[in-house]
Amino acid sequence: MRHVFFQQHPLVKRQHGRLGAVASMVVAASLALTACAPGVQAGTTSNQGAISTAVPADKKITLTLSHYETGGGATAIDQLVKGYEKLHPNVTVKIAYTSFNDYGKRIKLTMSSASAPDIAEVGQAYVMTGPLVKAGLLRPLDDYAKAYGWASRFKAGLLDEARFQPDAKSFGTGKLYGMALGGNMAGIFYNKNAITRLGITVPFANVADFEKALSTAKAAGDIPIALGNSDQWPANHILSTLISQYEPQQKMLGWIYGKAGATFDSAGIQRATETMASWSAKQYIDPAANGISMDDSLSRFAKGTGVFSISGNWNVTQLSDQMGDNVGFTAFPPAKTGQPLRATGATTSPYGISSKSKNPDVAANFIDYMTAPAAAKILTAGGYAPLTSKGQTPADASPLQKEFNTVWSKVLADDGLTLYLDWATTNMGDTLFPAIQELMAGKITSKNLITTVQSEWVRAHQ
Amino acid sequence: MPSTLAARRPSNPAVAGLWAKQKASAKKRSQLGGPPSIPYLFVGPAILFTAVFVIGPLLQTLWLSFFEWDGVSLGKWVGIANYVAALRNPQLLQAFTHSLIFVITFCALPVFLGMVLAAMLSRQKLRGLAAFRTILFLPQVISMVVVGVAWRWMYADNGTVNQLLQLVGIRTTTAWLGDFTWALPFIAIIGTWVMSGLCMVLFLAGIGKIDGELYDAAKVDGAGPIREFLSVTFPGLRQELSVAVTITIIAALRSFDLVYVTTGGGPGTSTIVPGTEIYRLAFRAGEVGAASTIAVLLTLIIFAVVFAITRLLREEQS
Repeated sequence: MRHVFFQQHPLVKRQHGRLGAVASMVVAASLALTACAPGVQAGTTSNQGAISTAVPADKKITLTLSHYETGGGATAIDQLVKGYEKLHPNVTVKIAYTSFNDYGKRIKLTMSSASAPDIAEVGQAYVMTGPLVKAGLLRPLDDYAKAYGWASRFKAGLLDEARFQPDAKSFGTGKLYGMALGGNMAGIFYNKNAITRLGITVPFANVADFEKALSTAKAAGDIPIALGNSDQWPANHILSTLISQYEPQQKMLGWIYGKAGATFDSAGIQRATETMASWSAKQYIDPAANGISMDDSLSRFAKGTGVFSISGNWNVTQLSDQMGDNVGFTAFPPAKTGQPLRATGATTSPYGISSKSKNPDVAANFIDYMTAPAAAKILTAGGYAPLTSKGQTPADASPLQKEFNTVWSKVLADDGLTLYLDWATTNMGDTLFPAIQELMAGKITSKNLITTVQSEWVRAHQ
Repeated sequence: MPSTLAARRPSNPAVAGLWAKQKASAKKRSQLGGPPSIPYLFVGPAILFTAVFVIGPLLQTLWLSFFEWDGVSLGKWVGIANYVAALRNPQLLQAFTHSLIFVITFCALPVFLGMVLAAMLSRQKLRGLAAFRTILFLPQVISMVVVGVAWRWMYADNGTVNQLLQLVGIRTTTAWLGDFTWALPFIAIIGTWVMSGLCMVLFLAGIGKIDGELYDAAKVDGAGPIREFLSVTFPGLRQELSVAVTITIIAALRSFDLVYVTTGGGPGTSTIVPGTEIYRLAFRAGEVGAASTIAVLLTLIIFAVVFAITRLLREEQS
């Protein structure tokens, strides 16, 4: 009886004799198949000859564009494609959509395959762009940028985000690898009824002013800042927004871009981190934050729990739909009254051109078309925060969208975006986010957090 | 499985006779024109699928674990450096320690509870037994992602768990999954909820197979319910026990989805398990070699543990 069982048990089945021989043949065959180093040889891009900004009209051309946008973002791209195809009837732009969750996992395989798309949306920094640059799978766009005058179209800081050094060890300087369609930015959403009831007025003049509002809300028994942080990243937007106020912008950007000698161990960052820890200790931030998800927290905020929510324009549509006129957006105030606005934010993921593309000229021409001032209206209607001053907010946009865009254009005018801290190294998110959770729970001090984060930075940049 | 049969050497005369007969008929078959490789045609598809989708990727993973590779540019052969680094990594040790807690709640507790439930349900004719069985088995049928989301809500600061605690006079608004001390045990206990029903159904089936006369004999000898369980039910359930322990221990060691959905490894690193580390390294950190190394180590550990369990339960019987 027992023996029968073990014969049938798949995990302890023994392989003897001929079956064993078959198995070892399979083993040998698989080894032979895999007996080479994985990956592709880097740096063999050859299509860097003369370029043209003209689109040939005499032959059929098909471009493939892969992206992970949804909703309004995707609709805007569809409209731009239609407009471009009308302008150039011999050009077809095929759109390949992949959901964001799968996109990040597949992009390396997609771009190294023989059928790589001509144009691909690639996230900034080391997770997507870095490895693709290192493997030589993205075509540098500096020649096109010069030919089309992209540098004069945007604030310098916006193009820098898509610049990379050839060894992919640092970015922000070097060759240009992509162009973005819009931007994103974090700030303060507030519940209008709640602040009226508490006698709080916006905008805030400085951080101390905002802190006073938090204290008022807490004293009244409200949850001052609604936050869901079980996904680990949302709390970073509070910390990095604070750092943006206390740390000089160029130093902060230098650290994120991997500039030699940059450090996280500075007085400004120390001050910001301590402020974050004290807000958590005083329960200005929802004490349940680490145990609930951002989605759950947002729907609670929409239903009236929490006076403020520090997050970004990716939540504008949801909050506007659910709260109507009861929600507002205001800038996170500077450390001292009158200082220029600084905000956690960046351009959306840029679009790059595959180094395998057979039609880089046309691909660049389409990217130029997507990012030109004439396209701004379509992009803004699709929910992209406009990167050029021509991007007027459409008249039928929600009041919240209009409020956001007002703050956004002020920050943009100051070139005041401070990017995302987790861009600093490939592993920075996985180092920083758990550390922020520990800081909020009082498990570590701000000094501990700074040391941990800086040693990851040193490890990655040595 | 003809090929296994053909490969096994006969150990007693009766079997040897059968063996010879079979061989002779095989010979006859081949003389009649049927090639001796016909059995392989039957197992061929299965072997092919296993080779392509199980053994191939397994070897590929083993191969990758000797490289430093970001998933796209050319990998660098580093020998066993990934293994040395993995064994020295305190975070990985932490992840495996968490797995041990999962072994208790995914395996030990459900097997115990399943056994108790099965023994109780089988002792008397219960009206609606099928309904009980279905309800207790249900968690096993639901996707782990759904289970994770549902429990995430129940563990929230204003969730069901805190509401129930309030009923018994404990006032708390702790968000359990955000608490450094409680997050791990609270996730782990979800495993007990999921696995207990499976164990119970397995054991109920096993009890159904036990000869009713044994129970009658036990009654005649004056055995109470506990004595009866120890002398009749438990010894009769060895096979089911082995299956239950194997399945649940594998589920415990390779758990990923539950943790990923509920906490993603947080708060801090208080709920990381090897599964989440593999995912993080491969898809976020771009360290495919290091991820493969952990995958290989995890596979080896699972094999070793399962092998030990089956050996242990086999020896107990002889």
